[in-house]
Amino acid sequence: MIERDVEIVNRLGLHARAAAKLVHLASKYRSNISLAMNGEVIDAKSILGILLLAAAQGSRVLVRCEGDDEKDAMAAVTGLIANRFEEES
Amino acid sequence: MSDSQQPQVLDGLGVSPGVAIGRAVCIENEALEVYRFPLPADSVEPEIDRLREATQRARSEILATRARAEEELGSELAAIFDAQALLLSDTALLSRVETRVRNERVNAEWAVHKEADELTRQFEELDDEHFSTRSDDLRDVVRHLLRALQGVAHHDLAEMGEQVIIVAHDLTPSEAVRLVRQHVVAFALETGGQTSHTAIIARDLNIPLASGLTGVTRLVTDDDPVIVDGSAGRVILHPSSAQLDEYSLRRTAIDKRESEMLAMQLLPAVTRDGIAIDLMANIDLNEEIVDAKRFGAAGVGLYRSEFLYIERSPNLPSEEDHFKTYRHLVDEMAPHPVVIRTYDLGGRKLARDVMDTEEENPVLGLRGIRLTLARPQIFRTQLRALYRAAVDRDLWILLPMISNLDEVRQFKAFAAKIQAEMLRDGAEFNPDCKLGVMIEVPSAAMIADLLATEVDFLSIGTNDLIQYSLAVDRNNEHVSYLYRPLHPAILRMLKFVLQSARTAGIDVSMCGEMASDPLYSPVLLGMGLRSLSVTSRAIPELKSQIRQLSMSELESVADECLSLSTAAQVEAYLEEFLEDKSVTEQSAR
Repeated sequence: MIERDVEIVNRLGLHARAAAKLVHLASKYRSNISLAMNGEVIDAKSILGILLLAAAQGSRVLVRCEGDDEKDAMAAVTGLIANRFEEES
Repeated sequence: MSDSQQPQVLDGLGVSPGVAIGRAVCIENEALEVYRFPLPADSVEPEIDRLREATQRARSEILATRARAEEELGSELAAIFDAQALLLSDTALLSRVETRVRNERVNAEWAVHKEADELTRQFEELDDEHFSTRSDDLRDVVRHLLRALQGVAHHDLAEMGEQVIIVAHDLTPSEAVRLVRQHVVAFALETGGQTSHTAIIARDLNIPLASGLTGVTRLVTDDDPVIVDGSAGRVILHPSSAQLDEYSLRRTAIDKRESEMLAMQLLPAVTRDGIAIDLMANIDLNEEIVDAKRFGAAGVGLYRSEFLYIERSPNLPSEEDHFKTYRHLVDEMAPHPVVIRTYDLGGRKLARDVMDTEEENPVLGLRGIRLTLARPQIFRTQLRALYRAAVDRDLWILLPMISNLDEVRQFKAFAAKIQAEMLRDGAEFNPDCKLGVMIEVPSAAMIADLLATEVDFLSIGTNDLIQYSLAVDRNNEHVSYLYRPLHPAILRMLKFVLQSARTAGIDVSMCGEMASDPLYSPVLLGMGLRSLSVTSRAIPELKSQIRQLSMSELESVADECLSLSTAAQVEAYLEEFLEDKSVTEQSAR
């Protein structure tokens, strides 16, 4: 299992469309992927969970991946977050 | 089109004039009614199956909508529906609903409804500014799901027939924009006021709209024959053949009057004694350029750029989006001038994504120039596009909600920075756009003389100026009677603004609704106004009024108006003045 602490940098935070992108991406990996914030842990493959996490810009989230492709999954998920969900120029 | 059912008349508020005859399409944007049914034990599993099937159906519906949205609106907007489709395949959501069906032994509709309530509550408890869009998505998904469960067909706008009358609880501006591009001939709504953005769009696009029609969504079913009279605010369901004849005649009369008015287009807007008046158009969308030209506008006196934002919402328009829109507009209107007002967001307008906080009193809050100066990145994009679009064109920049001189100076410093940056980038642009400010806050009106020395033109926005000066929200039925454009306080302010512009030798125009009412023309012209900007369709009537007035007598009319002590007296005086004129004219013939 690997963990990484990342900051949500895009302006709108984990809003509906960003969450959709994250779910699409996470679902490509076999690993279990979760996000944790303020003691709440949610499944990154569930959009409802992500929306309820309500991670706004500037919040810190702990990404946890566990499975045979955990390294790739971690790189992809943290890459998407760092890349502001490809939504801002 | 008449049928066996009895005609039924509903009276509401006339919001956008005109008459339309068509067939209803009900847009359900209010919650569907859901009832609770207890299930016998052996019906629980079949109910779960029914829920799963409905979920599949709802999901394919959303995916179909997504595909269509992608085609018509582009992939960024289409992505909105991704979240909705994912919600419907989210086991976390579905297992919650299924658990409820099993534990409480209730029908799936009720379980969906209760679960959605619970989630909406959770979303709303989140200390986060974007929860509302999330609960919107959730509400949309729930609606799809309930419809699938109840077997109600979902409307496909692309499949609508001709002569469609949209019946809905309410309509957001972006929904309205999207709908008028279909075959929609009228709107009948339960709620919505005169000055909502939806109302403005309907009027500008000449679509009749009646609102305040309590119960209309319940009474009308799809494909019912309906007449909408947007002038009287009346809707007739299942009209009799006599009513259909009457309204067809009115429709023809309106068309005829329109063609007469169009003939007016060829005549110049001058008073009898030869003083030329500029009649310009207020527009929100480039679609309205056609009307501005058709009705003979001498340019665009107010382009409300925030509609570009509203159309793209929740995305921000890019510099290219701005540039293409403005360039098309100035190219089409050349050689006439085009006044583009920078974003006037905030207040009651849509500012979800730009604003980070809820405001207690948004009308007096972070809006107009205040919001744009506070969000320089957004403003920068718009300004760069404006300067680029102005190359070889007569583009004027207008700042909304100015309340003091510092804001003008702050803007100038900001604009200088942007221009220096554009120069460095080697961008092709025109740095010499005229700069003007809206006079819509009483403090700005009172320092019009000071503002006039800092800018190239003033534009009087009477809607807000009256509302702020008289402390009246005219959408509030309890106080709307106090909304009086001819209140002596307003006339004195207008006079001072017009004088200040004249002393400084700069242009001044009026773009509020007060400009479009021919009753007010004598006093406005008499006080020195020479440029009015109104919705395109109001130009012919205004022109015909101006052509009957003589400037030589208007100055004393204005003086008389200014000497009276109440709005009612001024109104009576002006009505009498115009009546006497038409009598004299008749006898002269």
